[in-house]
Amino acid sequence: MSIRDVAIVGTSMTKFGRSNKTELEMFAEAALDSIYNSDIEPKNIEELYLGNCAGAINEGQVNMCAHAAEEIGLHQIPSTTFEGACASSAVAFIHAYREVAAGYNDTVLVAGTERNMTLRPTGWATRVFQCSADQRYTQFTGLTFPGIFAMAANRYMKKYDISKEAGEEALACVSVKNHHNGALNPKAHLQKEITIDTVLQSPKVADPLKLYDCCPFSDGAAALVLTSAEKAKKLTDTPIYVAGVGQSSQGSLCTQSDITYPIGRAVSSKKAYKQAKIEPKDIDIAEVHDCFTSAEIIAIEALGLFERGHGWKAEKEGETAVDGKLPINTSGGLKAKGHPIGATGCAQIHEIVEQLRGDAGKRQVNKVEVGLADNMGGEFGTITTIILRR
Amino acid sequence: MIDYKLTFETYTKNLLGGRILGLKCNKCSNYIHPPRMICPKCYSTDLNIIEFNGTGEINTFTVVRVAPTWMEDIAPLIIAHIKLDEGGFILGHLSDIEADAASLDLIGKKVKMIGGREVKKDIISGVNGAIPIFQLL
Ligand SMILES: [Zn+2]
Repeated sequence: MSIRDVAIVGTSMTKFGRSNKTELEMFAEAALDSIYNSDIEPKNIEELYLGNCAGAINEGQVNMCAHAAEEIGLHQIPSTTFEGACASSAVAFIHAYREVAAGYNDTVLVAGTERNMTLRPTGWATRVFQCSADQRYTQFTGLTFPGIFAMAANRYMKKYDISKEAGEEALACVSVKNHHNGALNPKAHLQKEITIDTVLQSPKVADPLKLYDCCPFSDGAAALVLTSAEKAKKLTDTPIYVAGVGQSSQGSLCTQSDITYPIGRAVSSKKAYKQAKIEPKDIDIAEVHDCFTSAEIIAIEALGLFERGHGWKAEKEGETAVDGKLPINTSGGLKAKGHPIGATGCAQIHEIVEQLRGDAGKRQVNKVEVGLADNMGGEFGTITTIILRR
Repeated sequence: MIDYKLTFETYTKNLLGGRILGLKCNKCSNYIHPPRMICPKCYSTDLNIIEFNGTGEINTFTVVRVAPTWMEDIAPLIIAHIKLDEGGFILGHLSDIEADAASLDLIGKKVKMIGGREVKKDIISGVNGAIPIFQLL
């Protein structure tokens, strides 16, 4: 297959947190900003790829893609909503990338939007999040999303013979690090430093996870403009190229034999490394899907960035800090930047782009050439890997 | 078109009757749980419904303290991911353990299903379901 090089020329995200705006309104803000940042006009956009997960349940809005296009003057262009739970907008990105790479389109808009912090109580949001697990064989048990990643944490501790105390401390280190990064990110939902004790003393959610092991429910949107490398060079001095992408799927938790090493993530990332012609050791920074602290440790191992069974130590020893060996989640991750489900994939890419361009301010990592974004939806159901380079 | 062999409706009715149903592949003898259209090992659709013996081993577990809205009354929930003796996994509640007594020592313990608890009219789907309940052997 002959495909052409594709670049990101503009990105944007709203501040994550609580918003009084609807999903369409937040989308419109981020989308138009990313178009203007790209030095183009809405009329230059040929197609819209929109990530959204639970708009139908939370806002009663289906067919969001059509209304989204009209909001920003993309009259009559093809517009499609992509849904892959928490990976919705990364899946949208991959499909947009493929169509530009194949030459069907030149310049397209990818976006994600989600409003999770509705006026309804935590129990409702917890139920809505459950919807991405198997309706028949997972949801009825009452197993929540913190519960799934708590199960993974317990299995990990048992498998690698880590005591409950040492394991919980390592999990807390992930949260402390991501909160530190979030405090340096003006777009983050939670911009405050915490300590290990903040995590350990917070209320239990699903053992061994506590409140500060969990990402918040956030509202927000993110967007970016993709175009051919040829056009990108005329628009910006700092195009960021898509080096490789991967995507995979897995069935319910009851079809998976080792939830400490989701095989789908290994499959997806191998595909992306292969296309990018690199190995995990070539990655300079990564945004990974830390919906819960245990999820970050599992992700960095399955991506091949850290040795299996060693991720927890790497977190404890500061190897994943902004000034560490391999900075993970410099944006604050889902934990501190926030997690508006459908917007998360694009927001991760936004951070990698800022880092590659040297625009990450106080979070800036030295000498960044290649960055990876890992997004995951459901009970390890939909997994994406996107590798970007300068 | 090949008929879907073991539907959720049949599965749930049996769970409420204290039986875990699964499938056995007639081609490669693989035991399949949860139910699927096709054998995940050999891709055969020649499958028979069989009753599993209801025993297995705890692969991992958690204590859900913040429960979804329809289960807040019965939280905390001790939920286990159980490797069934025949093959495959199931999620179920452990009924004979106190939440604060659940420790990593549970992993690897043998369990047996003692029945199914009915879930009526799920708040989102309106569908009825069932939760398998297990006890330590
Ligand atoms: Zn078979």
